[in-house]
Amino acid sequence: MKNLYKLLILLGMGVFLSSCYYDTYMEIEVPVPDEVSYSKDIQPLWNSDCVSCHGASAPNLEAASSYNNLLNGYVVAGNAEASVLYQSLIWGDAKAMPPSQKWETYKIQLVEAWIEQGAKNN
Amino acid sequence: MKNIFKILLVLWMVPFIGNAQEGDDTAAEATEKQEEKLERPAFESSYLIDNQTNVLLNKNALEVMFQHRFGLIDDWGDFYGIWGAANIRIGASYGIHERVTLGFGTTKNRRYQDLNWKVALLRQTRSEKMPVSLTYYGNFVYDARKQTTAFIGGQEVSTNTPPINYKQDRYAYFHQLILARRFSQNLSLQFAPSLSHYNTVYDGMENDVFAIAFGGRYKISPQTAILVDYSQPLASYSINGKDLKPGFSIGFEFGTSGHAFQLFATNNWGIINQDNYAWNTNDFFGGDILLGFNITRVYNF
Repeated sequence: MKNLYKLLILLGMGVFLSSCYYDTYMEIEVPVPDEVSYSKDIQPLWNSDCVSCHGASAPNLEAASSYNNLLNGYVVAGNAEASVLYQSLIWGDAKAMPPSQKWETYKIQLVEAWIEQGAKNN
Repeated sequence: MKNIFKILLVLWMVPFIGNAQEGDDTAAEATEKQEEKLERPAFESSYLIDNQTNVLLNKNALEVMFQHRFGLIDDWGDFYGIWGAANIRIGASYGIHERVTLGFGTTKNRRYQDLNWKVALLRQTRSEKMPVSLTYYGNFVYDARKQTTAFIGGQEVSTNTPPINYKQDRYAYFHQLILARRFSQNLSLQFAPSLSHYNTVYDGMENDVFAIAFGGRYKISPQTAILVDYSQPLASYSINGKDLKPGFSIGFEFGTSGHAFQLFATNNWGIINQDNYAWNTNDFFGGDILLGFNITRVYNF
Protein backbone atom coordinates (compact mmCIF):
# COMPACT_ATOMS: atom_id res chain seq x y z
CA MET A 1 0.00 0.00 0.00
CA LYS A 2 2.83 2.37 0.83
CA ASN A 3 4.24 1.83 -2.64
CA LEU A 4 0.89 2.68 -4.13
CA TYR A 5 0.75 5.95 -2.21
CA LYS A 6 4.27 6.80 -3.32
CA LEU A 7 3.40 6.07 -6.92
CA LEU A 8 0.27 8.20 -6.71
CA ILE A 9 2.14 11.07 -5.13
CA LEU A 10 4.89 10.96 -7.72
CA LEU A 11 2.36 10.84 -10.54
CA GLY A 12 0.38 13.64 -9.02
CA MET A 13 3.36 15.84 -8.37
CA GLY A 14 4.55 15.23 -11.90
CA VAL A 15 1.23 16.29 -13.35
CA PHE A 16 0.85 19.32 -11.10
CA LEU A 17 4.32 20.77 -10.80
CA SER A 18 5.15 20.54 -14.46
CA SER A 19 2.04 22.13 -15.82
CA CYS A 20 0.30 24.40 -13.32
CA TYR A 21 0.68 28.09 -14.03
CA TYR A 22 -1.21 31.39 -14.15
CA ASP A 23 -1.97 33.30 -17.32
CA THR A 24 -4.69 35.30 -19.01
CA TYR A 25 -5.78 35.27 -22.64
CA MET A 26 -4.48 38.08 -24.76
CA GLU A 27 -7.07 40.76 -25.37
CA ILE A 28 -7.99 40.42 -29.04
CA GLU A 29 -9.02 43.61 -30.77
CA VAL A 30 -9.72 42.98 -34.42
CA PRO A 31 -10.69 46.09 -36.38
CA VAL A 32 -13.93 45.43 -38.23
CA PRO A 33 -13.09 45.35 -41.97
CA ASP A 34 -14.84 47.81 -44.28
CA GLU A 35 -16.29 44.79 -46.01
CA VAL A 36 -16.64 41.68 -43.86
CA SER A 37 -16.10 38.49 -45.83
CA TYR A 38 -18.54 35.69 -45.01
CA SER A 39 -16.16 32.94 -46.11
CA LYS A 40 -12.99 34.37 -44.56
CA ASP A 41 -14.25 36.18 -41.45
CA ILE A 42 -17.54 34.55 -40.43
CA GLN A 43 -17.45 30.89 -41.50
CA PRO A 44 -14.24 30.21 -39.46
CA LEU A 45 -16.16 31.27 -36.34
CA TRP A 46 -18.87 28.67 -37.03
CA ASN A 47 -16.20 26.08 -37.75
CA SER A 48 -14.48 26.46 -34.38
CA ASP A 49 -17.41 26.82 -32.00
CA CYS A 50 -20.67 25.85 -33.67
CA VAL A 51 -20.57 23.01 -36.19
CA SER A 52 -19.97 20.35 -33.54
CA CYS A 53 -23.68 20.76 -32.70
CA HIS A 54 -24.98 22.71 -35.72
CA GLY A 55 -24.09 19.98 -38.12
CA ALA A 56 -26.86 17.77 -36.86
CA SER A 57 -29.27 20.36 -35.45
CA ALA A 58 -30.74 23.36 -37.25
CA PRO A 59 -29.43 25.62 -38.57
CA ASN A 60 -26.65 23.60 -40.18
CA LEU A 61 -23.56 25.84 -40.07
CA GLU A 62 -21.18 23.74 -42.12
CA ALA A 63 -19.52 25.65 -44.93
CA ALA A 64 -21.48 24.02 -47.74
CA SER A 65 -24.88 25.25 -46.59
CA SER A 66 -24.50 27.68 -43.69
CA TYR A 67 -25.14 30.86 -45.66
CA ASN A 68 -28.43 29.70 -47.16
CA ASN A 69 -29.58 28.25 -43.85
CA LEU A 70 -28.86 31.47 -41.95
CA LEU A 71 -30.66 33.64 -44.48
CA ASN A 72 -33.65 31.37 -44.10
CA GLY A 73 -35.07 32.97 -40.96
CA TYR A 74 -32.03 33.65 -38.77
CA VAL A 75 -30.64 36.77 -40.41
CA VAL A 76 -32.42 39.94 -41.54
CA ALA A 77 -29.94 41.46 -43.98
CA GLY A 78 -29.11 45.01 -42.94
CA ASN A 79 -30.69 44.75 -39.49
CA ALA A 80 -28.64 42.96 -36.83
CA GLU A 81 -30.99 43.85 -33.95
CA ALA A 82 -33.88 42.11 -35.71
CA SER A 83 -31.81 39.00 -36.51
CA VAL A 84 -32.25 35.85 -34.42
CA LEU A 85 -28.58 35.07 -35.01
CA TYR A 86 -27.38 38.32 -33.47
CA GLN A 87 -29.83 38.09 -30.56
CA SER A 88 -28.54 34.57 -29.85
CA LEU A 89 -24.93 35.70 -29.77
CA ILE A 90 -25.56 38.62 -27.41
CA TRP A 91 -27.69 36.29 -25.25
CA GLY A 92 -30.63 38.60 -25.89
CA ASP A 93 -34.14 37.81 -27.16
CA ALA A 94 -33.28 34.42 -28.60
CA LYS A 95 -31.75 31.13 -27.42
CA ALA A 96 -28.33 31.99 -25.92
CA MET A 97 -25.50 30.65 -28.07
CA PRO A 98 -22.95 29.20 -27.60
CA PRO A 99 -24.61 27.66 -24.52
CA SER A 100 -21.41 27.12 -22.58
CA GLN A 101 -20.10 30.66 -22.72
CA LYS A 102 -20.82 34.02 -24.31
CA TRP A 103 -18.55 34.95 -27.21
CA GLU A 104 -15.77 37.52 -27.08
CA THR A 105 -16.84 41.00 -28.19
CA TYR A 106 -14.79 41.04 -31.40
CA LYS A 107 -16.58 38.00 -32.79
CA ILE A 108 -20.01 39.44 -32.09
CA GLN A 109 -18.95 42.75 -33.68
CA LEU A 110 -17.83 40.92 -36.81
CA VAL A 111 -21.17 39.14 -37.18
CA GLU A 112 -23.04 42.37 -36.45
CA ALA A 113 -21.03 44.24 -39.11
CA TRP A 114 -21.58 41.45 -41.64
CA ILE A 115 -25.35 41.61 -41.14
CA GLU A 116 -25.44 45.43 -41.19
CA GLN A 117 -23.41 45.41 -44.42
CA GLY A 118 -26.16 43.42 -46.09
CA ALA A 119 -25.24 39.83 -45.08
CA LYS A 120 -23.46 39.21 -48.38
CA ASN A 121 -22.33 35.78 -49.53
CA ASN A 122 -18.81 36.94 -50.30
CA MET B 1 2.59 30.05 -7.42
CA LYS B 2 4.35 29.15 -4.10
CA ASN B 3 1.01 29.07 -2.35
CA ILE B 4 -0.48 26.62 -4.78
CA PHE B 5 2.55 24.36 -4.33
CA LYS B 6 2.02 24.43 -0.59
CA ILE B 7 -1.66 23.61 -0.88
CA LEU B 8 -0.96 20.73 -3.24
CA LEU B 9 1.77 19.40 -1.02
CA VAL B 10 -0.52 19.43 2.01
CA LEU B 11 -3.33 17.76 0.06
CA TRP B 12 -1.05 15.03 -1.16
CA MET B 13 0.46 14.49 2.25
CA VAL B 14 -2.88 13.87 3.93
CA PRO B 15 -3.14 10.22 2.87
CA PHE B 16 0.41 9.63 4.17
CA ILE B 17 -0.40 11.17 7.50
CA GLY B 18 -3.50 9.01 7.85
CA ASN B 19 -1.44 5.96 7.07
CA ALA B 20 1.27 6.89 9.55
CA GLN B 21 -1.25 7.31 12.31
CA GLU B 22 -2.67 3.90 11.62
CA GLY B 23 0.80 2.44 11.89
CA ASP B 24 1.30 3.95 15.33
CA ASP B 25 -1.69 2.19 16.80
CA THR B 26 -1.12 -0.61 19.25
CA ALA B 27 -2.11 -4.14 18.37
CA ALA B 28 -5.06 -3.99 20.76
CA GLU B 29 -6.37 -0.88 19.14
CA ALA B 30 -5.93 -2.43 15.73
CA THR B 31 -8.04 -5.39 16.73
CA GLU B 32 -10.69 -3.05 18.07
CA LYS B 33 -10.63 -1.13 14.79
CA GLN B 34 -11.13 -4.27 12.79
CA GLU B 35 -14.27 -4.94 14.79
CA GLU B 36 -15.45 -1.36 14.27
CA LYS B 37 -18.21 -1.51 11.67
CA LEU B 38 -18.32 1.18 9.07
CA GLU B 39 -21.55 3.10 8.60
CA ARG B 40 -23.48 2.32 5.43
CA PRO B 41 -22.66 4.70 2.55
CA ALA B 42 -24.20 8.13 3.03
CA PHE B 43 -25.20 8.31 -0.63
CA GLU B 44 -26.33 5.92 -3.32
CA SER B 45 -23.64 6.73 -5.88
CA SER B 46 -20.45 8.70 -6.36
CA TYR B 47 -22.39 11.76 -7.59
CA LEU B 48 -24.77 14.15 -5.87
CA ILE B 49 -26.07 15.77 -9.09
CA ASP B 50 -23.16 18.13 -9.90
CA ASN B 51 -20.79 17.34 -7.04
CA GLN B 52 -18.98 14.26 -5.89
CA THR B 53 -20.11 12.39 -2.80
CA ASN B 54 -17.99 10.58 -0.25
CA VAL B 55 -18.88 7.22 -1.82
CA LEU B 56 -15.89 5.17 -2.93
CA LEU B 57 -15.89 1.88 -4.77
CA ASN B 58 -15.02 -1.45 -3.22
CA LYS B 59 -11.65 -2.81 -4.20
CA ASN B 60 -11.79 -4.13 -7.79
CA ALA B 61 -15.24 -2.66 -8.39
CA LEU B 62 -15.93 -0.81 -11.64
CA GLU B 63 -18.39 2.02 -11.98
CA VAL B 64 -19.54 3.37 -15.32
CA MET B 65 -21.42 6.64 -15.54
CA PHE B 66 -23.45 8.53 -18.11
CA GLN B 67 -24.17 12.17 -17.42
CA HIS B 68 -26.38 14.35 -19.57
CA ARG B 69 -27.41 18.01 -19.43
CA PHE B 70 -30.09 19.23 -21.84
CA GLY B 71 -30.36 22.79 -23.16
CA LEU B 72 -31.91 25.61 -21.14
CA ILE B 73 -35.66 25.36 -20.67
CA ASP B 74 -37.11 28.05 -22.87
CA ASP B 75 -40.05 27.34 -25.15
CA TRP B 76 -41.68 24.73 -27.36
CA GLY B 77 -39.22 25.59 -30.14
CA ASP B 78 -36.74 23.04 -28.84
CA PHE B 79 -39.16 21.19 -26.57
CA TYR B 80 -38.01 23.01 -23.45
CA GLY B 81 -34.36 22.22 -23.97
CA ILE B 82 -34.79 18.51 -24.71
CA TRP B 83 -33.85 19.11 -28.37
CA GLY B 84 -31.42 21.90 -27.45
CA ALA B 85 -27.65 21.93 -27.11
CA ALA B 86 -26.73 19.08 -24.80
CA ASN B 87 -23.61 18.36 -22.78
CA ILE B 88 -22.63 14.74 -22.22
CA ARG B 89 -20.00 12.88 -20.21
CA ILE B 90 -19.18 9.20 -20.21
CA GLY B 91 -16.80 7.95 -17.57
CA ALA B 92 -15.56 4.97 -15.62
CA SER B 93 -13.97 4.57 -12.21
CA TYR B 94 -12.17 1.65 -10.60
CA GLY B 95 -11.53 0.87 -6.96
CA ILE B 96 -7.83 0.04 -6.67
CA HIS B 97 -8.09 -0.07 -2.88
CA GLU B 98 -11.02 0.23 -0.52
CA ARG B 99 -9.86 3.77 0.22
CA VAL B 100 -8.71 4.80 -3.28
CA THR B 101 -10.75 5.11 -6.49
CA LEU B 102 -9.33 6.22 -9.85
CA GLY B 103 -11.37 7.31 -12.83
CA PHE B 104 -11.41 8.67 -16.35
CA GLY B 105 -14.05 10.45 -18.35
CA THR B 106 -14.68 12.28 -21.58
CA THR B 107 -17.05 15.24 -21.98
CA LYS B 108 -18.58 16.91 -25.01
CA ASN B 109 -18.13 20.53 -23.87
CA ARG B 110 -14.60 21.65 -24.80
CA ARG B 111 -13.77 17.96 -25.37
CA TYR B 112 -12.66 17.74 -21.74
CA GLN B 113 -10.71 14.59 -20.91
CA ASP B 114 -10.51 14.08 -17.17
CA LEU B 115 -8.44 11.90 -14.88
CA ASN B 116 -9.82 11.80 -11.37
CA TRP B 117 -9.03 10.25 -8.02
CA LYS B 118 -10.83 9.96 -4.73
CA VAL B 119 -9.31 9.02 -1.37
CA ALA B 120 -11.19 8.14 1.83
CA LEU B 121 -9.39 9.89 4.67
CA LEU B 122 -11.91 9.29 7.48
CA ARG B 123 -14.85 6.92 7.42
CA GLN B 124 -17.97 7.20 9.52
CA THR B 125 -18.52 4.27 11.90
CA ARG B 126 -21.74 2.86 13.29
CA SER B 127 -20.49 3.26 16.86
CA GLU B 128 -20.11 7.02 16.31
CA LYS B 129 -16.45 6.76 17.26
CA MET B 130 -15.93 8.48 13.92
CA PRO B 131 -19.05 10.57 13.38
CA VAL B 132 -18.27 11.82 9.85
CA SER B 133 -16.59 10.80 6.61
CA LEU B 134 -13.87 12.95 5.10
CA THR B 135 -12.94 12.32 1.49
CA TYR B 136 -10.52 14.01 -0.88
CA TYR B 137 -11.44 14.25 -4.55
CA GLY B 138 -9.21 15.67 -7.26
CA ASN B 139 -8.97 15.76 -11.01
CA PHE B 140 -6.79 16.82 -13.89
CA VAL B 141 -8.60 17.96 -17.01
CA TYR B 142 -7.32 18.35 -20.56
CA ASP B 143 -9.17 20.51 -23.07
CA ALA B 144 -8.81 18.44 -26.23
CA ARG B 145 -10.52 20.79 -28.70
CA LYS B 146 -8.90 21.14 -32.08
CA GLN B 147 -7.13 24.47 -32.30
CA THR B 148 -8.63 26.62 -35.04
CA THR B 149 -7.22 29.88 -36.32
CA ALA B 150 -8.23 32.31 -39.00
CA PHE B 151 -6.91 35.52 -40.55
CA ILE B 152 -9.51 38.01 -39.44
CA GLY B 153 -9.03 41.69 -40.15
CA GLY B 154 -5.54 40.91 -41.35
CA GLN B 155 -4.27 39.11 -38.24
CA GLU B 156 -4.22 35.44 -37.28
CA VAL B 157 -6.27 34.70 -34.18
CA SER B 158 -7.45 31.56 -32.40
CA THR B 159 -11.16 31.39 -33.12
CA ASN B 160 -11.87 28.89 -30.34
CA THR B 161 -13.96 30.10 -27.41
CA PRO B 162 -12.08 30.41 -25.15
CA PRO B 163 -8.92 30.64 -27.28
CA ILE B 164 -6.23 27.99 -27.39
CA ASN B 165 -2.85 29.66 -27.84
CA TYR B 166 -0.50 27.37 -25.93
CA LYS B 167 -0.57 23.72 -24.85
CA GLN B 168 -0.74 24.76 -21.19
CA ASP B 169 -3.96 26.71 -21.85
CA ARG B 170 -5.69 23.36 -22.04
CA TYR B 171 -5.00 22.22 -18.45
CA ALA B 172 -7.31 22.62 -15.45
CA TYR B 173 -7.30 21.10 -11.96
CA PHE B 174 -9.75 20.54 -9.15
CA HIS B 175 -9.39 19.65 -5.46
CA GLN B 176 -12.22 19.08 -3.04
CA LEU B 177 -12.63 17.88 0.54
CA ILE B 178 -15.99 16.23 1.17
CA LEU B 179 -17.23 16.15 4.75
CA ALA B 180 -20.28 13.90 4.86
CA ARG B 181 -22.47 12.34 7.48
CA ARG B 182 -25.27 9.81 7.34
CA PHE B 183 -27.59 11.18 10.00
CA SER B 184 -30.21 8.48 9.76
CA GLN B 185 -31.46 5.77 7.46
CA ASN B 186 -33.12 8.49 5.40
CA LEU B 187 -31.02 11.63 5.72
CA SER B 188 -27.43 12.29 4.60
CA LEU B 189 -25.75 15.67 4.25
CA GLN B 190 -22.39 16.86 3.00
CA PHE B 191 -20.27 19.99 2.99
CA ALA B 192 -17.51 20.32 0.38
CA PRO B 193 -14.97 23.14 0.10
CA SER B 194 -13.02 23.11 -3.15
CA LEU B 195 -10.36 24.77 -5.27
CA SER B 196 -10.68 25.02 -9.05
CA HIS B 197 -7.69 26.05 -11.13
CA TYR B 198 -7.54 27.02 -14.81
CA ASN B 199 -4.12 27.75 -16.22
CA THR B 200 -5.44 30.48 -18.51
CA VAL B 201 -8.57 32.59 -18.14
CA TYR B 202 -9.98 35.83 -19.53
CA ASP B 203 -8.71 39.08 -18.11
CA GLY B 204 -10.77 39.89 -15.00
CA MET B 205 -11.39 36.25 -14.12
CA GLU B 206 -9.43 34.38 -11.45
CA ASN B 207 -7.25 31.38 -12.19
CA ASP B 208 -8.02 29.94 -8.75
CA VAL B 209 -11.60 29.81 -7.58
CA PHE B 210 -12.31 28.68 -4.03
CA ALA B 211 -15.83 27.46 -3.45
CA ILE B 212 -18.08 25.73 -0.96
CA ALA B 213 -20.87 23.29 -1.64
CA PHE B 214 -23.72 21.93 0.44
CA GLY B 215 -25.79 18.96 -0.51
CA GLY B 216 -28.10 16.35 0.86
CA ARG B 217 -30.26 13.36 0.18
CA TYR B 218 -33.53 12.43 1.85
CA LYS B 219 -35.06 9.04 1.15
CA ILE B 220 -38.80 9.11 0.68
CA SER B 221 -39.09 5.39 -0.10
CA PRO B 222 -36.65 2.46 -0.12
CA GLN B 223 -35.71 3.15 -3.76
CA THR B 224 -36.42 6.87 -4.11
CA ALA B 225 -34.75 9.94 -2.64
CA ILE B 226 -34.84 13.70 -3.03
CA LEU B 227 -31.49 15.35 -3.79
CA VAL B 228 -30.38 18.95 -3.30
CA ASP B 229 -27.00 20.42 -4.23
CA TYR B 230 -25.80 24.01 -3.90
CA SER B 231 -22.38 25.31 -5.00
CA GLN B 232 -21.17 28.79 -4.09
CA PRO B 233 -17.96 30.08 -5.70
CA LEU B 234 -16.09 32.44 -3.39
CA ALA B 235 -15.25 34.70 -6.30
CA SER B 236 -16.97 37.47 -8.18
CA TYR B 237 -16.22 38.28 -11.82
CA SER B 238 -17.72 38.51 -15.28
CA ILE B 239 -17.03 36.32 -18.29
CA ASN B 240 -17.50 38.36 -21.47
CA GLY B 241 -20.07 40.51 -19.69
CA LYS B 242 -21.93 37.72 -17.88
CA ASP B 243 -21.53 37.32 -14.11
CA LEU B 244 -20.35 34.10 -12.46
CA LYS B 245 -23.30 32.47 -10.70
CA PRO B 246 -23.69 29.85 -7.96
CA GLY B 247 -25.04 26.44 -8.91
CA PHE B 248 -28.30 25.05 -7.58
CA SER B 249 -29.74 21.66 -8.37
CA ILE B 250 -32.72 19.69 -7.11
CA GLY B 251 -33.94 16.31 -8.21
CA PHE B 252 -34.86 12.72 -7.58
CA GLU B 253 -32.75 9.59 -7.30
CA PHE B 254 -33.98 6.12 -8.06
CA GLY B 255 -31.66 3.38 -6.83
CA THR B 256 -31.34 -0.37 -7.13
CA SER B 257 -28.52 -2.55 -5.88
CA GLY B 258 -26.21 -1.68 -8.78
CA HIS B 259 -27.80 1.34 -10.46
CA ALA B 260 -28.48 4.90 -9.43
CA PHE B 261 -30.54 7.10 -11.70
CA GLN B 262 -30.70 10.80 -10.89
CA LEU B 263 -33.13 13.12 -12.68
CA PHE B 264 -32.91 16.80 -11.80
CA ALA B 265 -33.29 20.48 -12.63
CA THR B 266 -30.13 22.58 -12.44
CA ASN B 267 -28.50 25.72 -13.78
CA ASN B 268 -25.12 24.00 -14.30
CA TRP B 269 -24.69 23.10 -17.96
CA GLY B 270 -21.15 21.93 -17.29
CA ILE B 271 -20.44 18.48 -15.95
CA ILE B 272 -16.76 18.75 -15.05
CA ASN B 273 -16.59 20.27 -11.56
CA GLN B 274 -14.33 23.24 -12.30
CA ASP B 275 -16.30 24.02 -15.46
CA ASN B 276 -19.27 24.84 -13.21
CA TYR B 277 -17.37 26.52 -10.41
CA ALA B 278 -15.34 28.85 -12.64
CA TRP B 279 -17.47 29.35 -15.77
CA ASN B 280 -21.17 29.01 -14.94
CA THR B 281 -23.15 32.16 -15.78
CA ASN B 282 -26.63 30.61 -15.66
CA ASP B 283 -28.80 31.98 -12.85
CA PHE B 284 -31.18 29.35 -11.46
CA PHE B 285 -33.41 31.86 -9.71
CA GLY B 286 -33.33 34.11 -12.78
CA GLY B 287 -34.90 31.32 -14.83
CA ASP B 288 -31.82 29.74 -16.41
CA ILE B 289 -32.84 26.18 -15.66
CA LEU B 290 -32.17 22.97 -17.52
CA LEU B 291 -32.92 19.29 -17.04
CA GLY B 292 -30.30 16.63 -16.64
CA PHE B 293 -29.69 13.09 -15.54
CA ASN B 294 -26.89 10.92 -14.16
CA ILE B 295 -26.83 7.16 -14.49
CA THR B 296 -24.26 5.08 -12.64
CA ARG B 297 -23.81 1.32 -12.71
CA VAL B 298 -21.42 -0.54 -10.42
CA TYR B 299 -19.91 -3.90 -11.29
CA ASN B 300 -18.27 -5.83 -8.47
CA PHE B 301 -15.57 -8.28 -9.49
